[in-house]
Amino acid sequence: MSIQPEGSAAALAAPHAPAGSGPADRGGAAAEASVTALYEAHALGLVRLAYVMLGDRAAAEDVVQEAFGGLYRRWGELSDKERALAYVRSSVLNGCRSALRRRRLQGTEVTHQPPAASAEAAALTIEERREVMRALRRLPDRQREVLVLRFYLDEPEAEIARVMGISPSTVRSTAHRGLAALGRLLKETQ
Amino acid sequence: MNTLEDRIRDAATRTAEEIAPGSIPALSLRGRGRPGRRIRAGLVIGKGRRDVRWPRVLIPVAAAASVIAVVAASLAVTSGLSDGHGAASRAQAGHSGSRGASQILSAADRAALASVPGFYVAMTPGAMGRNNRAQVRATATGAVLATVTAPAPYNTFSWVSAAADDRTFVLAAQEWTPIAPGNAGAPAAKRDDDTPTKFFVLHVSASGRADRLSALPIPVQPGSVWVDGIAVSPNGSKLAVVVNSNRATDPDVNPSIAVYTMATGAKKQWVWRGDGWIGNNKPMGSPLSWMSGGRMLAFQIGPANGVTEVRLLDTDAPDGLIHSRLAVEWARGDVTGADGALITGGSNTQPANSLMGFNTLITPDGSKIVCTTRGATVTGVTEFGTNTARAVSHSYPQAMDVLWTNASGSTLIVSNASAVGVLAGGHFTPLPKSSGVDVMSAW
Repeated sequence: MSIQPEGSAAALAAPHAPAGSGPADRGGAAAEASVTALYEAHALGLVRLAYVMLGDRAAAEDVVQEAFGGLYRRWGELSDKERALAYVRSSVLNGCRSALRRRRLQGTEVTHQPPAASAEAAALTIEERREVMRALRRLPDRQREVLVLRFYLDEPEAEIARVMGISPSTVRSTAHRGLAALGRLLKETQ
Repeated sequence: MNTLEDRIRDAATRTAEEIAPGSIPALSLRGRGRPGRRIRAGLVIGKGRRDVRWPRVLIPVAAAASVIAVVAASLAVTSGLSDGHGAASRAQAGHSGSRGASQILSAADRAALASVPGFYVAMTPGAMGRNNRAQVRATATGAVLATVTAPAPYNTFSWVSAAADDRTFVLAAQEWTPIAPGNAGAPAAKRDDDTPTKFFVLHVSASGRADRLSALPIPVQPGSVWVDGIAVSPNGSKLAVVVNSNRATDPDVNPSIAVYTMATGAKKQWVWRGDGWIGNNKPMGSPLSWMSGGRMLAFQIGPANGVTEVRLLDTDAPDGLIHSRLAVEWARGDVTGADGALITGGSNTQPANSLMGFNTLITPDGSKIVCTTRGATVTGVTEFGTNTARAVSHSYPQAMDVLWTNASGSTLIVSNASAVGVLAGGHFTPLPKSSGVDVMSAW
């Protein structure tokens, strides 16, 4: 069985997405309706993606809101509405990058806390996951994004390359480096 | 959880699921400005054309995608096929370079290319990162002189190392079974870290013709351990191999370095009794390197506490790794970009950068450890004196890793974000056709 997390390219290409419906020329109301519909269809997957990147739910929700706000502002400029979802997802990744940069500059570090209800039942497993997520968030931006897109969203190399604006070979080498670095970080904590 | 990839999948998926469906706040577009206008079937129109573009990250990069020719023969060496020039050009493909190369390179660049080994072996990643082929290439031209595949049952290369003669290469091969996305479990167990490792030698003639891969009489390393680094001695007679515990199957194995005589398989081993590990977890780069003479071996070690060190092992001395000499040490965090601290004799003596690349090479004359570092003070190639552990030079901020060094460290082969090239006197000369070549290569 192939798992397709929400937020992946396939999941984003939902049939009810308003891409290509051409509302922009009917003014802001139509744009608002289209963007809102897009949000309702895909906000969950995108907030989850941002949450994986940031480990902070409030920040993740802010990043997604900002991304859709940016999409709304630029709706009329989009020459290809089919790419609206790709655009907003890239905006989410960029927003995560900026949030992490601000966090580093401010010297604040968010420690991911899983829901308390599940912690007791599977404390060891959750602690292991926390270690992986902590290590993942210590990686350089590009490595973290490649690993999340590759192994969380199961995106193919070509799609990752397209979204990140890098070549497929760079995706491969970055994934190699990211995995090796992650392995070293996890060994440090064991 | 059999692999790191599976752990990432599991951790990310479970973390994401903490955001429950239906719990996302509604979209608020108030105060976010009005949407733009002007659209017509892909063309931006309006009062004077404005250069409205998608963000750079959305521009397709199909042109950058590389197409790798499929070479099917197992245990086959297909000399001279990939560059399409045949034996005559192969004979010219070494230091001097081809006529085509000489037409576009300056005299200084040609001299730089002639100052480094004439051949290298680079792994070519296949699907899902499997290194199912290795290419023998001419440094000066980038021409592919031979392509080798691992003999059955092995189907991926995990390590490569070169002797100083520019003719002898050792490759480690393992079994590797790809799994479909989301299909963790039993098939995932048969991955690069969990299968036996076999070593092969590949000899290249002066003209670039490669022999068949020959199995070395070194015992197959079982899948119950991880091979985390190899290095051929400069004269091609010995092979250093780092082994760590495969925690999933045998957590009691201590990290160790073994030096095998390649002709006989005779083994000499040093065991690390403390915490930590030696080498690189996933097969990557060159965590081991030899000084000329084949006696002193530099190795990366992480003896817990988040410290990465490069130590020197005298392979002729009877004592163990614990007595190996500390050469360079970084404290904590070699991938975050945060500064580490350079430590000499157990105390912090000066600010230093954190280790950035995978490789930490000792110069053959033993005077320096060459690597790439990153931090607030300096980013790029850093050379540390082995006796003082102090940084003695910094150069080329664009560098990502150091892949080869000459005797003194004055000429290097380094990688940057887009290519591999020769770095000498602060000048970088890219190797032809080196896009995509990374630390999984050896000169």
